[in-house]
Amino acid sequence: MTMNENVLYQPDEKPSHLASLLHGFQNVMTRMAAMAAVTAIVATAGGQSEEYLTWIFFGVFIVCGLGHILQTFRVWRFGSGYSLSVASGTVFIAVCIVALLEGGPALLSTLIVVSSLIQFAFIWRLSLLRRIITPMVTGTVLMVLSAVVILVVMGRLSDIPEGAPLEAAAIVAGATFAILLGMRLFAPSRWQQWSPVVAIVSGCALAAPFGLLDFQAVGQAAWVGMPTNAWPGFDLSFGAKFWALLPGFVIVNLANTITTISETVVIQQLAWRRPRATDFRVVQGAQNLVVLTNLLAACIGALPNRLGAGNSARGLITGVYARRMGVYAGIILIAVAFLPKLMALIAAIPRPILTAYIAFLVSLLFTQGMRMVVQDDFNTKKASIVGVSLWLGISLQSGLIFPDLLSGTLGTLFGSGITTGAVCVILLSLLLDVSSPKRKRLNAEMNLSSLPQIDAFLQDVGDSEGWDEESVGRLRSAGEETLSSMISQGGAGESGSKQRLTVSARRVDEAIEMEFLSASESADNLEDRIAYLNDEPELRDDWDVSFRLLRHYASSVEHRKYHDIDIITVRVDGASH
Amino acid sequence: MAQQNESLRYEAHEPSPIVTTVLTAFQITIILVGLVVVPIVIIVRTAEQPEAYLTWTVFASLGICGITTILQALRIGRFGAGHILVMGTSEPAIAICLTALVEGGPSMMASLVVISSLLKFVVAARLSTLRRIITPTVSGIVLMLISSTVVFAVFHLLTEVPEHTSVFSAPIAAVVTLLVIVALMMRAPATLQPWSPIIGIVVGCIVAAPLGLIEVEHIIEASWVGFPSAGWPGFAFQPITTFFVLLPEFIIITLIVAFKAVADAVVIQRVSQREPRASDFRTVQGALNVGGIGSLLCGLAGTIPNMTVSPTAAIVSLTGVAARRVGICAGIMFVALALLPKITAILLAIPAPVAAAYLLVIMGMVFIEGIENVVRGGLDSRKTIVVAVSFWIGIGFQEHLIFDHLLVGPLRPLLGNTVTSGSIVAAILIAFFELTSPRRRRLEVELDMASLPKIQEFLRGFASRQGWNEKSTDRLCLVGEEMLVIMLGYEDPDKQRILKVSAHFDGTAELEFVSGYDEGNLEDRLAHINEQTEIMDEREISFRMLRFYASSVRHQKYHDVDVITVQVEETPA
Repeated sequence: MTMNENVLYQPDEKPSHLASLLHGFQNVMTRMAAMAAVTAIVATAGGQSEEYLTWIFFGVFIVCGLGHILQTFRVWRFGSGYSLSVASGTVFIAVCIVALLEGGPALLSTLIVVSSLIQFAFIWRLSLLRRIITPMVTGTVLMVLSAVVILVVMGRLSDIPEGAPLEAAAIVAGATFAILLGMRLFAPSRWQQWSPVVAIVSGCALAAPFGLLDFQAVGQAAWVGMPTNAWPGFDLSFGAKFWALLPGFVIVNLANTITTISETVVIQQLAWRRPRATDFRVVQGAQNLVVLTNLLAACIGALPNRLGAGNSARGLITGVYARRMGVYAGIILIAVAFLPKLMALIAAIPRPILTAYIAFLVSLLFTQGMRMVVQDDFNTKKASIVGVSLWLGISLQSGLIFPDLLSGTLGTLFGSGITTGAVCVILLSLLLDVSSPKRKRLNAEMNLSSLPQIDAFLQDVGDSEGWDEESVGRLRSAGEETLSSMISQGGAGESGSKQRLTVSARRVDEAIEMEFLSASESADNLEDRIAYLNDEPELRDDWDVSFRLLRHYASSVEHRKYHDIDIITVRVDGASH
Repeated sequence: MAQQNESLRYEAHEPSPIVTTVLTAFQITIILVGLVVVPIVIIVRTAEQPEAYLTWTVFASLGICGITTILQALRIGRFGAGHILVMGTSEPAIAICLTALVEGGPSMMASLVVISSLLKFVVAARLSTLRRIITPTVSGIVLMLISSTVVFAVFHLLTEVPEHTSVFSAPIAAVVTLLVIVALMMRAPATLQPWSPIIGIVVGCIVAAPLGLIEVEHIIEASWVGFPSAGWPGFAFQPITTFFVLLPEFIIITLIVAFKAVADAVVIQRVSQREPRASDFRTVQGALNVGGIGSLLCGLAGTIPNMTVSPTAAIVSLTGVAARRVGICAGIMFVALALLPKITAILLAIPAPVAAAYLLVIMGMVFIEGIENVVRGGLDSRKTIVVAVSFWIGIGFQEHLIFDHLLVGPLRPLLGNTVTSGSIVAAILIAFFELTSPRRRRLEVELDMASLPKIQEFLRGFASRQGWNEKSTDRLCLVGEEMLVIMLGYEDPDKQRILKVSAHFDGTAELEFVSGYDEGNLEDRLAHINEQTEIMDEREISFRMLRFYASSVRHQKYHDVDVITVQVEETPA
């Protein structure tokens, strides 16, 4: 397996406090301006007062700061254990504005609470979506997301103060981009980690003589500030307006959950020098925490949140994934809520500089999506699914597909390229899955006494597919070793265990794909253990033989760990009579 | 081992049944004829050239594309790919040809096309020297950019419907076409799947007809048989200043088109084989040579230059038919269309929304082919940057998002095109890496066993400079020895007896062996070595040892030379 050589600090490593503070600042500096913009848009378009705007601005920064800190921990089913940002996203702008216009801040808070509870239930049963959330789907979503962001931000390259020369924007953006590129390619890794801040500071230094820096707002802002209380409370009337708006909130929340899952999958692949299989408990933990922050946001009258994009891409540039950085990033966000001058200073960074930085960052994310879509067996059908979804998403976002027709409700539903691309790739994947041969199932107990039952089941599957004796033997052996491996991983023991095991099998091209579903308390991932067997020169324990045999018999092994269940997918190649 | 292409029904050398051949060729023609004719109509009309010239140039382009498509499929000597590689109008050349037509007229454009076309032959002949620039990464990026260009252009077609039709007509026709094609690809029986594109188009047309989306006037007006008697523009170099201003731009565009041809020739090889094999660069050179002939003929005929058309590989993937007789048949159909204007008019009457929906599927697949090319080429951190930066800069320029107001003069036609700007950025970045990476150490010896001590001394010196331990140095020397044994075993007396070895360190040691080696592909041989249960000849031991010691072996076969690149990793002491 290829090692991630550019990782400077893994999540469990601790850079110095000063370095963590600076990395935390790098992490949040571009996000803060966007969060402030979203807050202002929602409050203004929602017809709310200046007092309310100041209040939610304060609330958003406090909640997102707390969210970022808590993400770095993993307590029960909450938190990811990675430095993952939590931010108020543009996806919520439309529904929040409508809620504010229709029922005011109290109704908005109630809607956030109820839709969050539904989101909790969805994340709780994430394992049911295992055939939807595949590398192909997450990779496609990541590509659409990156493409949409880049196309939007590139449009702001020429966004400069009136009277400033247009050429200056090109020079400043070009210089920022060149510094990022140059440092990423040629600087030693200990310098690469500072490339965002070096590029942005250099860009600002270059922008100053062109008159692109405007410090007026910085001068006017107070050093320390705390808004007057504008807590809106909750609207518990549950009237017609509530029921009319609830579906919109639920759909946006769920779509948002699906689209941000890719971020938690990618960061797990990038953050460790020795890559690991995706742990879906991390995905669930990260999303659960986002829901928790939404509940908190509702309680103080702030806006709903999502997992911020670009965490993994920032890591690609700096090589820093340490949890400590996440803690500092959260602290900075909370501090900014009380320090208006600091916020104004960040907001003064010229747009071309931020655009160049974000475009560079997100374009790297796009290549991660590319990697993911072609990582497992890829064929013409999958190629057409990815291609169609990707271009449909990008084209809709760019307003290329019947822009005149996509207005009103249709516009809300299909206007977002990310949502449309994600829905398209999911629907087509489902269509492909439905059209695949039906699975045969067996329910058994999770212990060695179930072996004859599993063996007979697999013999039957192999025979019904017309496989020769040798191939059926390999299939049965793979089944036996998978069971042994699962038991070795803490999935019950000798006979007497009442833990359930479900085995299903189906034909996929020239192979049979078996799926073993059971609950497990083990922290080990079978896929990782098999991937790194060669690195262990000696047998670690008696069960190592099972792992080695399983690797021998199977053409691929994939292990997905969820909070409620473990799913091991084993593929065995075979030949017909 | 890489995955097998199980959906392929006929490889390039396999004869497909006549009905399958004709229907597959028809599918190709029906879709790609638009890519030949439509750009020409747009360019000529925009440049306000006379109708006689338009008639001539459509006729000439169709005829030349047909002839060169046949040549690509046939492969005669060093000409042709031996695969289905349909030739169409050169899309990257549209802007520059338009400028030439406006500023100098058809005769000056013809002269520029003739001169620049010669460059393709040079690129084909010296492809091996460009191997570090035209890499799988660059080819992949070019394919991704082409797909993007076409998709962005195609969606503008969605609203190109006759006046007075309902606003819902175009969406209905497009959605029905898309759904039929995708549903058939996913769920239809294997025998029906290859025909999903044509079924989708036919259903789309049936739905479009009552909605008033099919215009029959052009079909009625077109004659059944036609041969233009006038319109050939001849040659001119006037105004001379304009000629010399435009020549460098034509040359750059020709280079970009050559990059694209390399990408297409690599991809068509991959989709045309059941067993994955390394790309044969002699095929690429053959494709480039025919591309040169095509552009030369276009120049002589006074029309827009042509190039390989990327959707071909996607259509081959979809239909599972890669038999070269399909290419010949498609070429004949193009030639026939040149002489039968009414049939061309019928094919061009396919409503734009229907064609757009189909092209969305095809270009989506082309994009994924590009991604596969890039990922197969190895996506390390540097290549990741090249892909990310060049692709998005290309898209940014195409969509006028990057300081559009600053693109003036020759910069606009050059950078305004996605493929051109993206390819230039990719080539510059890769060339920059080459120039700034540690210097290669070179050795030139006679291809003889007596040269072994020299090679070992060279490799020991190289390893010592990298500070490698004894174990790793021995490993490197063993690779050198096994490579010499293997190359000696297959030396061709007609080829050069010089062996050039170069060594370069960039994380791992990369050795490059350049010489004549007239036996199959070593990379393929090593990939399939486990399938050969017994030792077949004495060199088998060398193959196995090479596979054991090297972390990767890549073999590029060119007409003039073979380049084998071997990577060796340092082993801990």
